[in-house]
Amino acid sequence: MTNTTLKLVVKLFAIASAFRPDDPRELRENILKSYLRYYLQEKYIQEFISIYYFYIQQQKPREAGYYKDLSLKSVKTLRLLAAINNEMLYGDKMYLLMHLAEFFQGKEEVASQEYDFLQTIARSFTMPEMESHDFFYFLLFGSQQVVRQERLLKVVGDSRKYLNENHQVIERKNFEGLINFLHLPSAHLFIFYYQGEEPLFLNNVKVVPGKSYFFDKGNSLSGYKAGLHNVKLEPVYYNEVAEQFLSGRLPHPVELKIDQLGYHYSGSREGIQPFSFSSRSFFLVGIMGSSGTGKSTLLKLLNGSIRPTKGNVWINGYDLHAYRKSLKNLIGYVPQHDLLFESLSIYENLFYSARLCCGRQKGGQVHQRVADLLHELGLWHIRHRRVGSHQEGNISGGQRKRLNLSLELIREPAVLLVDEPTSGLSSNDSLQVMNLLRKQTLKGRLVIASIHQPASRIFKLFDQLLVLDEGGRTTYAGDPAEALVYFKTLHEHVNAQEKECSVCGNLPAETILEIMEEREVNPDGEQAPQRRMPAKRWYERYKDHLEPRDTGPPEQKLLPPLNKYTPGWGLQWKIFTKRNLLSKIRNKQFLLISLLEAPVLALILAFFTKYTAGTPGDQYAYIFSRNMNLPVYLFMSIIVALFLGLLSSSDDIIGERRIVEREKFLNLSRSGYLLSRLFILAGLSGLQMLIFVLLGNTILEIRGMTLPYFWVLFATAFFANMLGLNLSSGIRSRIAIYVLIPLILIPHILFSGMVIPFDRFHGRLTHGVYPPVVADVMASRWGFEALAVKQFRDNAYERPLFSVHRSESFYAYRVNHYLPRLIEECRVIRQHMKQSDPSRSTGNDMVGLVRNELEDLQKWKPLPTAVEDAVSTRARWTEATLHGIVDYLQSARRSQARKLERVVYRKDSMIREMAQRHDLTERKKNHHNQGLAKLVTRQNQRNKLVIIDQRLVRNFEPVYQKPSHSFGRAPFFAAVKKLGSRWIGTWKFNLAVLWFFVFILYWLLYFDALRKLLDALHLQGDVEA
Amino acid sequence: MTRISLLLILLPLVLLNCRQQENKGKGRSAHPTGSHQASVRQDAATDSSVYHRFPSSREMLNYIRSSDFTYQPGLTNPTGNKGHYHSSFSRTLNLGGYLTDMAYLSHFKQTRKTREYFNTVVELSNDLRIKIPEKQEVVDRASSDLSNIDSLVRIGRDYETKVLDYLKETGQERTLAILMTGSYIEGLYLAVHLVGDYREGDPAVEKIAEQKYALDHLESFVRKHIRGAGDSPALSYLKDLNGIFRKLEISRESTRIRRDSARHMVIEGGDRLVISEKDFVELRNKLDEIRHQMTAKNNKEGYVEED
Repeated sequence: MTNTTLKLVVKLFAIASAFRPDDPRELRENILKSYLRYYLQEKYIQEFISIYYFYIQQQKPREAGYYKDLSLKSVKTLRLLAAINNEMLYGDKMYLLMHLAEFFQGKEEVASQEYDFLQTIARSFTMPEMESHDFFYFLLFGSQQVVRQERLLKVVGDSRKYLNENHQVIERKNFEGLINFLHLPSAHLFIFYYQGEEPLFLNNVKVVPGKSYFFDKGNSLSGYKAGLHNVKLEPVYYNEVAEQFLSGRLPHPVELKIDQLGYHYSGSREGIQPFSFSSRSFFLVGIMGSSGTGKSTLLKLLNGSIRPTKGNVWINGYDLHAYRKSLKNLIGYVPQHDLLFESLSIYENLFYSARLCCGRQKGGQVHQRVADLLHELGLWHIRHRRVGSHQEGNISGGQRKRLNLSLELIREPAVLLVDEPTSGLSSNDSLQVMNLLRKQTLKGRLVIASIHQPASRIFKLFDQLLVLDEGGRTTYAGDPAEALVYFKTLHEHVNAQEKECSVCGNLPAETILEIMEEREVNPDGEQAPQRRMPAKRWYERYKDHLEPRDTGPPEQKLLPPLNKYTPGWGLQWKIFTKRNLLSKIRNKQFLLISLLEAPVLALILAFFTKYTAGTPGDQYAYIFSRNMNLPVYLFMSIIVALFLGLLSSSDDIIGERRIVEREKFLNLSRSGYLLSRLFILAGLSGLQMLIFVLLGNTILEIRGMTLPYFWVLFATAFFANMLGLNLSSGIRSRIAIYVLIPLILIPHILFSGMVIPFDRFHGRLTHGVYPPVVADVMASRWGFEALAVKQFRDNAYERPLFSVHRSESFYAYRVNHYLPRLIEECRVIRQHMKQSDPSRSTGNDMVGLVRNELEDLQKWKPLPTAVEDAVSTRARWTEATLHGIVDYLQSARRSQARKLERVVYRKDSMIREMAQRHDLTERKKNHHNQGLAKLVTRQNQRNKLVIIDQRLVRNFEPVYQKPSHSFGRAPFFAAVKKLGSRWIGTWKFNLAVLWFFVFILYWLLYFDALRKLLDALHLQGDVEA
Repeated sequence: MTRISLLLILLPLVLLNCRQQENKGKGRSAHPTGSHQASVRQDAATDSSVYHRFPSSREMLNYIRSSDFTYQPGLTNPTGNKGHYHSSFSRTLNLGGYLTDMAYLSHFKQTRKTREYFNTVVELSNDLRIKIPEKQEVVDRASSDLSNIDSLVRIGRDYETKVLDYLKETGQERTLAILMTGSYIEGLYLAVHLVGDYREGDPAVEKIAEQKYALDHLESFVRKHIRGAGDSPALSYLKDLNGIFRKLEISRESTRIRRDSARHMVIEGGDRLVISEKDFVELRNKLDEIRHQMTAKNNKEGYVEED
């Protein structure tokens, strides 16, 4: 409290004094001193006492009646109250009121003006009227005069005397006195006065019978029988009193029981050692311990996200892990790290969280809930502020923490688990957050918070304390103040019984950890590495003396109602999508880069691959058909699609990992979340690829191929999106993901079929005419082939002629390569025969080859009888046989040549017809590309056929080939693929393959396969902050 | 057909002989020494028993050289026109033409042009799926012997021979017929334009008249092997030319033998075709027309390589 405010308060006391000018001065002074001691050290109190008397003297002597009227109505008084009102917390105001009321205590009557004076102040302090009446009657006239008896609680020795009373009763054996409590709901505290002769102590300070005291969090009343120091009275704790008042308001309170709960990490004995503990609604439980003692692990055990290796957690008699799905709805978990979307505002962050928990409520109701909560947390006035990163500092650390809390509070969980709520905060912010948590207990929640080394003011807020030591060993469970006594006693401290400092009221929580972790001292006076008392011993002491003995499942009780407003899958998807979209749009840097990347890359690629062959009239003239770089452009387009897809998705999930884990914890739909991500990524990739195709194709004058290119590039980019999402979901480190990107891209480049033709790979990898299997898992191979084939086959020049070109190619292959080769083989066989070649195996191979081919050939041209017999009976061949075969093959060749001429003639008819309608030269110039034609017909391929398993296999003009494999395998650049008995165009087939890859990757992502694999192989580190 | 191939095989020998003759006198002589060989005429309808050389463009060009004509640029069909030939018919026709152009250029030692036409010939034959044994080796040799015109001549000749062999071997008579047509027309066109203006009694002019005999047999060969309406232009070109040739007068002289200055026996006289100036001009005009149609571009604008 400030100096100015204190002076104003003192002035108020001076005004109060004026009502009873005849009261002993000492009495009033003692009341004022008692008040001031709460705020000042003793040496400063006298100064304010002097100020008090100065104000009294300043008041001019008048008739008593006149003065009383004046003080009530005086504008100055009201102004005084207004000034005080703006400076004091509500609790402090109640404290002031209590002391002011003491001025009027002790007499049988209280004058109406005096009462009105007090009421005026109470009204000014916004104290509810009924409560103020209870308050003043309790203070001035005693508990019997309080109208609302249900607001009272009495601590008595024998509760049977009070069975028919309307107030609460707590019984204490051997207690002969009477403690009267009044509940002040507006201030969340109690006041009491004591009647009796037994010595009673409020936190070690002796209680004066008849005097009123506040009873706040962390307070306890203890004592002993008069004259019998060894007969202690059982202490009365704040939470016990609070529970008496609050539990009645909660129809279904929660009871938590931990029964020999233990956990150890795989491959280790470390974790949480078995312990038992219980707590219930209205309690604020602190889990205290040094770093690495298992606080967070314990919280995760309590929220059900990890399964204990021993023991149980019961909630109202239901095993948490057996009824996990249902009970999880009752539990709120706030991890240490942020769960906020930095691009969204405070309001939006909470709003979307609210929608995900209560989406089925009407929109207006959700807005109202959000508004109410923001008001409660003191965030309403900055609700439109963007959250931003920690570094940006848009909102303070305390505001961040409160917002994180609000994400859980909006769900109204019955049990709230909070991990390190004050870490990284200033002391004020910490207190604010803890007060917020305390308020939640008053609403009936059980709040369990882990905390490292709380300050005294925070420590006092806890109702129960769990202390953990090394190896997850529980060393204490119980009242926080008693914890100090416990540890100090075991440590043989001189002032072991002192809980809080008698001067400042400090409750030093750090003492507990200091005692536990105290080191031995060696003879040199230095601290030795080993502790005075190892953790194991502390744990054993706890087990022997403090651990509850009541084991086994408790009685099952009704659970609090579960949230029935969780939205269905469709609504969840919608909410995820809106949230994610908004988050991306608000991130201007991301948006700009994403939208600019595609056109910039298109410009660069198209510009540098635009080969200008020139014409005699214009050396820089561009002719599409002579742009030999077109295949490079197609290939690089695929790589660009892969690259952009990976970039836009690989950071997606990892940046929200904790949010994803939380939403998983909340049983929100994983598929809904993933599909919303995919929807947005698809939109982004689609836009990028559309821009890329429009720009690139325009520059390179690629006509009539916009949509086919777009679909291929979009499918490729989306495949990369899926791959990136899998990485983002499975790998915990951003750096690892970025390092992996080139490891993904390079094989795609290598096995695309462009950089190295497939037949030039290592012999063990290639099959001969089919791409190697490793290439078949590369999206680049499918995408590039699709583009190349589509461009070649379906351009306006080639499309009407493709079928006849294919026939022409077929016959040309037979006339020019296949049959001449067989004839050549026969010639070589003849040579072998003449030379009686010792390498008979070579000769036999060739015979086998020729025989196999003849068996096929005879299906369309019957073999002469003599030859047929030699072939079918597998008799040894003679010169005559060979001669007959060669004649047959030459005849076959001439026959195929005639067919070739017929096909060519038919082609010429088609060309003539086309020439009637189009300028063919222009058409060819604008649509047919020589560079691409060379690539897909493999013009430079020297070996037009290869021998595989004693068969001649065509390796010639693959684009015109009709493959024989029924499962889609075909030479690279084949224009069709065969599936069963159906022929499917390569463009369609390859697109289907790409989408199939996407489908597979989606399911891998859904089941988080990569993460599970890496975890199983112990290749993952900790989650990246 | 076998006899024709025999003649074709003799062509290189003829040309080789012609090169040896090159150094013997530069003047234009009445008769090309060693080049006039007996020919047997027969009814055009039964060409199977007729021995005639065709295309005789090589022979013609050889004779032109020995007649001391000089190289005229701009006569050949620009290689840039290749891009305008889309059908196999027009490609084949012009392949024949380009083969003749290549021979013409190589005769006059136009190395760069010869190389260019060689490349065009290779590309066209690829487009037509004419497979030459060891084609790549031939092409590689041409690339490596870039400045050696003699090598280029041999390579070009070699290539042409292989093309014709391939067509024969595979029985693609239709293609062969069209190719020969193109080759013949181009050869005659070049000869006519090299001669220039008509000169009565000029041996070069007379030699042109004698091409009628080869034309007769070429026409019957083409008529036999072309397919249908699509190939008819080839026949109509030859018929149009033959229509002019049929109007030529035949001059009959008694044969006589004499020794020339080199003491070789030379046979002179006999029947010979006489071409008047009017006929010559008509023939030239017709050749221009036919040759234009043969090499015509299929587009409204395009580009023509300037020589």
